[in-house]
Amino acid sequence: MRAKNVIKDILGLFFELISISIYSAFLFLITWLLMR
Amino acid sequence: MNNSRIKFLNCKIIFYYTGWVIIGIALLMFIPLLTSLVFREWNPVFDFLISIAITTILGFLLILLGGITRDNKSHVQWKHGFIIAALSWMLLTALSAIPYLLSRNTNSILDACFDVMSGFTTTGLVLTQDLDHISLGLNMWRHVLTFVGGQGMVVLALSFLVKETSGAYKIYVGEAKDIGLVPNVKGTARIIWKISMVYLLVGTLALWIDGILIGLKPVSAFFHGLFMFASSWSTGGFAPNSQNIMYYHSFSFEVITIIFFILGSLNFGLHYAIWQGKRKEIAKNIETQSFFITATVASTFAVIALSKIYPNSITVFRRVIYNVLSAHTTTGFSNVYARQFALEWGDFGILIMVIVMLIGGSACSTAGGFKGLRVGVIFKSIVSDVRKLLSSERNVKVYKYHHIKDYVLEDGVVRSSALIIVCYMLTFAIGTAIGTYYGYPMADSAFEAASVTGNVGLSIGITAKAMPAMMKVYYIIAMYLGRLEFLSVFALIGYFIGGVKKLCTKIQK
Repeated sequence: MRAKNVIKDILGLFFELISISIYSAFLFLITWLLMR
Repeated sequence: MNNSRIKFLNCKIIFYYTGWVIIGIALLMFIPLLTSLVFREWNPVFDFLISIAITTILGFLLILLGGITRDNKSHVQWKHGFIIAALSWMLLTALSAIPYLLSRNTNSILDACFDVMSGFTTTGLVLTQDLDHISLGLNMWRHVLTFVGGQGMVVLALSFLVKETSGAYKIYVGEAKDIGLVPNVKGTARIIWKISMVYLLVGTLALWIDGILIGLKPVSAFFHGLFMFASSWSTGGFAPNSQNIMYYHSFSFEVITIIFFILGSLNFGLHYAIWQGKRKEIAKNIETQSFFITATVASTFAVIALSKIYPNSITVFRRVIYNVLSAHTTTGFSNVYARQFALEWGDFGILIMVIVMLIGGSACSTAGGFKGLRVGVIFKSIVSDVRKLLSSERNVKVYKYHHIKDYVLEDGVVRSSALIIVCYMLTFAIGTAIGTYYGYPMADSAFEAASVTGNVGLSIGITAKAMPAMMKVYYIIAMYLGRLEFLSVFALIGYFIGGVKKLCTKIQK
C-alpha cells in the first residue's frame, strides 16, 4: 500500500513537471511563430 | 461567562497561540545558525544566537501569559484565528529582522523589516545592502523566510508544535489558506509540506546539476540551486546575488526556474488532486484555466509589442515571456535591469505587467495577487448574468464552476471575490498615488504599487534605500495586506479599535 502510494506520488510529480514543460514549450512556439 | 472574563480568555487564547508561532520561528533560526557554524562565519553565529535567545524568551513569555487550559482550547473562534494570524505576522517580521540588523547589511530597522516582510510575503523586493558579499548564514535566513512564508508560517508552527489543533483551522483560514485537503488541519499542513519537500529535493537537484554544468563550483552550485529553488517554488524572487537570475546568464537555468515557479503558483489542492491520480483536474480546474488563458494572452500581446526591441525568438522568450510569467506567478525573478522596463518596454509593456501582477497565481498556493480563482468566478458570473438576461424568465438554471470539485456559483461567492478584488485595487491605487506624490512618474508608480500589492517583487527602480520612508512603510503595509488577503488585518484593527473604544468609555464613566 505504501509502495503504491509512493509510485502514485512520483507519477503525479512527473505528470506536473511534463505538463508545465509542455506549456512552456507552447509559449516558446507562439514566440517563434510571432517572430517569423 | 461575564464580559471581563470573556475579554481575559480572548487575550489568553491569542497570546498562547502567538507564543507557539514565535517559538516556531526561533526553531527555524537554527538552520542559518548551523549553516554559519559549518562555514565558520563567527559573526553571523553570534547574530543568530542573540536572535534565537530574544525570540525564545518572548515566545515562552506569551505562552506563559496565555497559560491556556484544555477547556479553553475549544473556545477558539473565527476572530481569534484572524487576529492570531495577523498579529503573528507582525511580531514575526520584527523578530526575524534582528539578524538583518545585527549583520549591519541594512541601513535601518525600517529597511530590515521591509526585507523580512518582503521575504515572508514572498514578494522579493530587496533593501539589503551589498547582497553579493553577505554571509551564507544570512542568505540562508532570507531564503528560509521566503520558503516558509510561501507555505504559511502560522500553519507550520501550529501544526507541528501544538498538540491540540481543534481551533487551528480558523487560524489557518486567517493566513489566507482556506483549503482542507483532509478533514484535519494537521493532515492538510503535512500534505502541503510533503509536496513542498519533494519538490525541494527535485528542484534543488535539477538546479544544482545545471549550476555545475554552467560552471559553478559544486558547493556553490548546491547553495545557488537550493536558494533559487526556494525562491522559485515559493514565488519569492529573492536571489543570493544582486543581479538576480541575470547572474547565471543561462537559458537552461531560466527554463528550470520557469517550470518551478509556475508549479509553485498552482493551488496545493490541485497538486494533491493530481498526485492522487486525478490528472484531468489540471485542465478542468477554473484556476488553471484562468491562469493559462491570461498568461497566454498577456505573453502574446507582450511579444507582439516588444518584438521590435529584441533580435530573435530565443531572446524574446528569455526577456519577455520569462518576465511576464515571473510577474503573473508573482515570483519576481527578472533578467532585465529595472530601468529597462521604463526605458525600453514602454507604457504598453508596463500595462501588461501591471495587469498580470495584480491577477497573480492561484488561491492556496505560494503566489500573491487577487488570484485566478476570483478572476474565473467573476468572469463566470458575468457570463451567467448575460445568459439569464437572454433566456426565458421561466428557465431557472444553476451555474457551476469546477475547483477540485463542482461548486454552485452563489451570489455570496461572487460578492466575496469582488470585495477582495476591490480591496486589492484600492491598495494598488493608494500605492500609485503615494508614488506620484513623491514625484515618481505615473507608470513607474503603478508598476511598483502592483508589484508590492500582488507580492511580486519586480522593480522598475523605485525600491531603493534612498526612497522616502513613508513609501517604505506603505509598501510594507501593502505586502502584508496583499499576503493575508485583508480580512485578518481588518479583524486585528477592528479588535484594537473596539478595545480602545471600551477603554475610552470606561475612562469617561
